[in-house]
This record gives sequence, structure tokens and C-alpha cells, in this order.
Amino acid sequence: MNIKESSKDMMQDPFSILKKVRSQEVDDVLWTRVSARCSIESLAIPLSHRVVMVMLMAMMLMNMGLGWWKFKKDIHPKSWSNTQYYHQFQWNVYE
Amino acid sequence: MDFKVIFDQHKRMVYNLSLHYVWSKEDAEEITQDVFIQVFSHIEQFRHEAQLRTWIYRITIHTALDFLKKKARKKRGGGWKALFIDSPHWNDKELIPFAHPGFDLEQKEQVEQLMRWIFELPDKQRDAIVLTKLEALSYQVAADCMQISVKSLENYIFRAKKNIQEKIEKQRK
Repeated sequence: MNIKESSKDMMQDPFSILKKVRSQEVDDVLWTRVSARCSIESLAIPLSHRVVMVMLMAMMLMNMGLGWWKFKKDIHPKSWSNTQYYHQFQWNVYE
Repeated sequence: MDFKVIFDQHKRMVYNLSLHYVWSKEDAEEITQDVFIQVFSHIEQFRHEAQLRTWIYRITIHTALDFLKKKARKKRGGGWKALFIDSPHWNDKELIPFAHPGFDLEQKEQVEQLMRWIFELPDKQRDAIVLTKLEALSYQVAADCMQISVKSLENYIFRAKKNIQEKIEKQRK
């Protein structure tokens, strides 16, 4: 029966046809998938912990960057002649 | 309460409600999984003011709608335009083909047209019809799920019926 033919009945109660919907069974495999995903979920690091970890990581990187900048500035061969470390390097003694 | 018990008690309800929104077995299964993952990770936040069943109903509706929005965004290929998708388009037959397994094939054409009309209605009217007519919930439970009064629910159903009748009338002409 198409829509036009049945439109009179539909005008009376448009939703009557929806009563004929059959409830569907759920596949048993679904529990296996859900429980597997739940165990992964329970291992996940909470958001607050993740934020702290990112902040610590950023601080560590900043420290490493600062250390490198200081090394370049004070100890790097290009600036040896200007630093207090010049005399500490044996090989420069023979130059 | 044991999570397996919660799953067994509510799986059928979650799966069938998802099916009413996405109209496909595969998508409904995916939504069912997502719903139970959310239930599992937020069960501690569950306030016993509401019944567990109505709480799970609400999660299912939100998850199904989010799922369809994501699907629509993917179809549009992401990008900035996709950000403006605020509701899924049930009229898009390519995006949401009607493959609801709960209806007989002879009724498929008629039901598909009716479902597309229902899902074009404003959100509250649509949810009211899905919960009371498809899920066959009592008005009290449906109103609790939607966090509205029974009177407002009746009002939404009345307006939905009127809107659908107008669409049928238009189709006849």
C-alpha cells in the first residue's frame, strides 16, 4: 500500500503504523566488544593526570632548552675565547 | 551494581532506541557500544535522583545524535564548513538510508516517508514521538527521559501530530 492510498488512515492516526515495529534482539558478541573496550577505558589515564603530565613535560623541555642555550652561550667553542672555560681545555694549550 | 547486570538489563532498550534514530543495524551496534562505555565511565557520577533507565535513555539519545552529526561531518569531508552542522539531516537518503530491520518490507515505503517527516520535526517533538510511539514508553517515563512535565509532553505530541497531518495533506494535493 503506498502513501497516497493509505493517507486517509494516516490522517486519522499518523503514528498507528509505528506500533507494528518489532523489537530487535541484540547480538551476544556485543558484550565481548563492550567489555574489551571497558577494560581499555579503565586503563586510560584520567584527564587531570594527563594535564599534569603535559605540564611537567613542557617544564622539562623548557629546562633542557635553557640548558642548551646556556651551554651554547658559555661553553661552545665559538665563544671559548670569551669565557672562563678557555684554559680548561687541554688541546687548546698546544695551539 | 555489577556492570554486566546493567548491560544485560538495558542492552535491548539501548539497541532498539539507537535503531530508531540511525535506522541501521551496524550503526546501532556501534552506538550501543559507545553508550555502555559512557555508562561504565560515568556510573560514579550517576545521581540517584533519576532512574538508571531514564539516565541511560538520555545518554542513548545524545550518543545517537552525536553519531549522526559526526557522520554528516565526515561526509562533508571535515573542514570549517562541517563545524556548522548542528543537526543531522534525516532527509539525506544517502547519509541515512532507511534500513530499519523492525518493519516489514511491504510497509517500508510508507514507514520510511513517515519516519523522515517525524525526524524533520523540531527536536522535542521528534523525541516525544520516538519515545512514546516507537519505544511505547508511558507518558510519565518519556517525560522523565526528556526532563519535562507530562503536560508539555502531551503538547509536543499534539503539535507533532498536527505537523505530520499537514505534511500528509500537502502530499495528497
